[in-house]
Amino acid sequence: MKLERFHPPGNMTDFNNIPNQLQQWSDAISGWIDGAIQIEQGRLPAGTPVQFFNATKTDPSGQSFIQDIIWNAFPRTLVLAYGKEMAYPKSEQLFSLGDKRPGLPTAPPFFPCPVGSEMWKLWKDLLYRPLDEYCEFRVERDPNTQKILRIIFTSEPPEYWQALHGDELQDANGNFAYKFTGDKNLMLDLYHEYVSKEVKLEDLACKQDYDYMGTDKDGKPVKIQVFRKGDYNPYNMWNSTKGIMHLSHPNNFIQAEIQLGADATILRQKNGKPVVQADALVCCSGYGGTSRSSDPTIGASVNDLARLGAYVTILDPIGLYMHDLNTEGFTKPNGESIDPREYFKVVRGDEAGGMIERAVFEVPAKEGFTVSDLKIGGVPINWGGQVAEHINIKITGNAVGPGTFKNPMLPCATFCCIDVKVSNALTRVSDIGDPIHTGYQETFKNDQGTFGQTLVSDLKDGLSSAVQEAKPYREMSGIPAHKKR
Amino acid sequence: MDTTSPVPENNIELKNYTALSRETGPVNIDAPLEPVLDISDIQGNALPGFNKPHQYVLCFKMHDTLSGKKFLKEILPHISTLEEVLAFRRLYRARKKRLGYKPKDELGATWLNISFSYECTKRLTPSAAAFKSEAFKVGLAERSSSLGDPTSPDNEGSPHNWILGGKDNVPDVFIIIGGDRQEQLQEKVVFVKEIATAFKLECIYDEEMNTIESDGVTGLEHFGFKDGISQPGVRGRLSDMPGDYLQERYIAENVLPDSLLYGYPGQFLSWPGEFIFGYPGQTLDPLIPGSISTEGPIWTKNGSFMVFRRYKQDVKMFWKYMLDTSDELSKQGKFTDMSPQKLAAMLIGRWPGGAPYARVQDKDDKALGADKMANNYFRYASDSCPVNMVNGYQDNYPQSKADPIGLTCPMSGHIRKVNTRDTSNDAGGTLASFQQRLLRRGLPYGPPLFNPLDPNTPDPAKGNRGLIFLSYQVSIENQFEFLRNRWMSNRFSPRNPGGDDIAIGLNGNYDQDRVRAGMVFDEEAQPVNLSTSDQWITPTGGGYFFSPSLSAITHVLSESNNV
Repeated sequence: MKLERFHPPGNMTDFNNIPNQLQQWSDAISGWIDGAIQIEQGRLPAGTPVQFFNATKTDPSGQSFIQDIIWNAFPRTLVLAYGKEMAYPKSEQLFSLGDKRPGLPTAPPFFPCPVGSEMWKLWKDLLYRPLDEYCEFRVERDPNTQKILRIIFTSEPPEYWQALHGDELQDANGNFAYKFTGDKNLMLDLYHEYVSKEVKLEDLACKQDYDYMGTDKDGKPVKIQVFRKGDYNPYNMWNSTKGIMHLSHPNNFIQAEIQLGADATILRQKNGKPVVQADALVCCSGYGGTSRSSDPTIGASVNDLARLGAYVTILDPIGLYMHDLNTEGFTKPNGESIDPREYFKVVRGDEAGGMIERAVFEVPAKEGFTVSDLKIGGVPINWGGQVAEHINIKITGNAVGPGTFKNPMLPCATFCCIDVKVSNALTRVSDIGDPIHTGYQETFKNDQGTFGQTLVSDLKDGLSSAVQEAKPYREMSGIPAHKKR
Repeated sequence: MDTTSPVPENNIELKNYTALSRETGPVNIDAPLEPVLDISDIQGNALPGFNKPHQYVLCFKMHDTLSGKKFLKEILPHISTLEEVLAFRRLYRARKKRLGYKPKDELGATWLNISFSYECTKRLTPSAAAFKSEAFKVGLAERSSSLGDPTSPDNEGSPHNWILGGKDNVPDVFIIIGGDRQEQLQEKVVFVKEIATAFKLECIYDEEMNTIESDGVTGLEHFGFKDGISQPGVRGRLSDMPGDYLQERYIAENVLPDSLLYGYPGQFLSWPGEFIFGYPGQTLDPLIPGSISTEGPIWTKNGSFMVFRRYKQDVKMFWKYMLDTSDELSKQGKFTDMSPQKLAAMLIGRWPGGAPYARVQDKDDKALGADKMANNYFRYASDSCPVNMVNGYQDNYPQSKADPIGLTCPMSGHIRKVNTRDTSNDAGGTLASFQQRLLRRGLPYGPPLFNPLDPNTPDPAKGNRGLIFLSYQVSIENQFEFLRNRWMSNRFSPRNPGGDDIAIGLNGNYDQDRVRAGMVFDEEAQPVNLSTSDQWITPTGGGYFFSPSLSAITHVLSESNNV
């Protein structure tokens, strides 16, 4: 049976009493999925079906397999770039959207503009958390002792808050397409409840347009709009310097998740052999962030299911979720284990369903000590990252009817480079043929081994056209640069 | 499966690998340049591993530091190096090849290695304060709760009750001695104890370990499973000569990139910096070396952290669960040919004889289990297929099929919990699996229990049996502890749908009553939940140690000016 409509992340109820908002949300999700399917259709040879499907429009037959795709909350990008010891303090800093990305020295800023330009200055003033695993946290300390009082975690996507604000959200091609009724007063109430009573509505809105410089299909420079004056500002001070309400890292948004899921249903090959390994695949396919725990894991998990010839989609309600906190080894000053139900309070989302959107880690008042007085494996908690690295994040994949498809494997569209003297992170995904930065070498030059599944003759015919299709990868995707990561 | 397949000893023709072998792998233009290992400075149990059938652990308190330093000078020439252990191994194999059988009566050696606790290391040199590893510094007992160990003082597995390495009985010095012959091993043990006593070291623990053999299968642990099959292959050369690799490579040179990625088929090669300090570690691309691994004091080069855990195994309880549960599953009609052995194979990921469950699901295949060319060759994300080998070897066993959801080999199966192979995991791609690998060097202690499925089988040892687990790695936190905490006792990672590592895991999560729960799929791909709070594994001791290079012992730790 087809899904009646898509539900809000974690089945959160804020939209319930806003006229048409639930349907508008479903329409946006559905539209993003359709847009992603259209992009994949453009990549595949003519007549080849797309394996990613919209559950409100397609009801595939066959056995269904539900798979939670799990990854760790603490950013692998920071660990690879700085090592664990340095990654902890880095993870608590805020970074400017006008600057280069921490841990990825050759990657451009998310919203590239000429340095020093008015456009650039606007981005320069906006700050985000460098936590790119779809889970962000804010550490609140005692100003005198610097001991940690609480750590607030969120996995709420910014789109949910843009919708609550009544904004018009962009489609897969960057067009403003999905208008929401919204309820600004409700949004303000939620900010008051979860962040601060001092929040004012005007603090949350963009005071001007936000644009950056991209290129059009012909490669000519073009100004691309991200936010319009009066739109909700996801980087507002109550979600950056003064508090945390939802995800702020520019890579952490729900539309990206859908696009990644769809991209990952495209099968890839190198030298005639399937590309399977998660890090090699993320480089080959050009989707997602290369050095993260999340995107390679999501991509490879989806691709595993796609290689079985199944229809694949993300299970409703589509969202980004904390699944659980594993507190094994967390001890009080007296050596007793902590009860996670008392210390990790889920305040938004569906805890029983493993769809946690917001949670607070703090010591119950009756105990009379702080988070910093707790230990994990005998080591005091000095950083929020020490707790974050015990949190599982998830999305849920749904594969239906394995054996339905026999799609061709396309050649790699992109590749990655590394310079271990600079960082162990893979720092960029380049278009095939692009030059390599000095000191960097290409990674995954070979496929990753001999596999049972290789190209079969009846698929090779479609391959040559697929090679041609894959070359103008970026242009044909149509997706704005800031949404491609 | 035809169980009359050729036995591996007859099947494997080692190409040119002689006692003086200098070329053990392909010299290919695409091959990454591997570092030359300091073979006379690295202790031999870290690399390549003693691999002796009889071993002995001795643990000491060092009451007087200056005397302890003298002891180190005395013991130094007895410490076995990578070079010596490897030279013997190659000689042994060369003789075996010519003789056609194991040269047990002809050749024998007795090896010794030494390691130190953090507290002891600090007393031997103030520079030890520069160690960064929190786990090493606070010690195993402090970390125990994060490994899933029991915390209640009423439980035998709590550090309060450990026979060694608990709250008040942490050893300073750890010595392992391994030998081919028990009488020579005993002589060496007596010798070490005598000189230790002479230099005021108090022996607080000693334990003998022996390999178990049953029904023609060697290398068993007490539950009856062939152990130690999936060891990482370590990159690195023994000299400047190209192709002079520590780890032999068996895949034909023209099979690219497999010949650059594997030692034995399925044995991914890891960069040595994952196990020994001073060498490049892993990057996201397995063919690109990473930065040089370092740890605090400069003299840690060529050294390694060593984890020691003493696990008591309740063999009767383990097999009672397998018997009862397999019987129940059979009655429910969810599986054909269900048996205690098959259920155990699902939860371990291998049959008792070592055959991977991913390759054979009907029954054990001892020939496959013993065949080094095939027993570690399987995948989860994709089908496997035979590859050409240097020796013309033919892998005629059933190949593994893509199983990303765990419909065949359960995600909660032990070997799948600790090594995700070609599938992704909660930490990304295969890099996480590479970086969590351990060089495992353990052996069983105590006598085996015969007929464990019979509840009335006599047990003169009264349950005193288990595993002395030893592992070498450069990060206790990111390797040994990661596997225990993040993967084995986390119900949802590294992959779902999964569960705890029911067979070998421990669950120390609050209010879960130590229940380990997991999921397997029946033959109609329907999930079947399994759980138990039986304590099949009980930690009863251990410690975190540093296993230094010989030069560090010579010039730093035994140096009397350092106190």
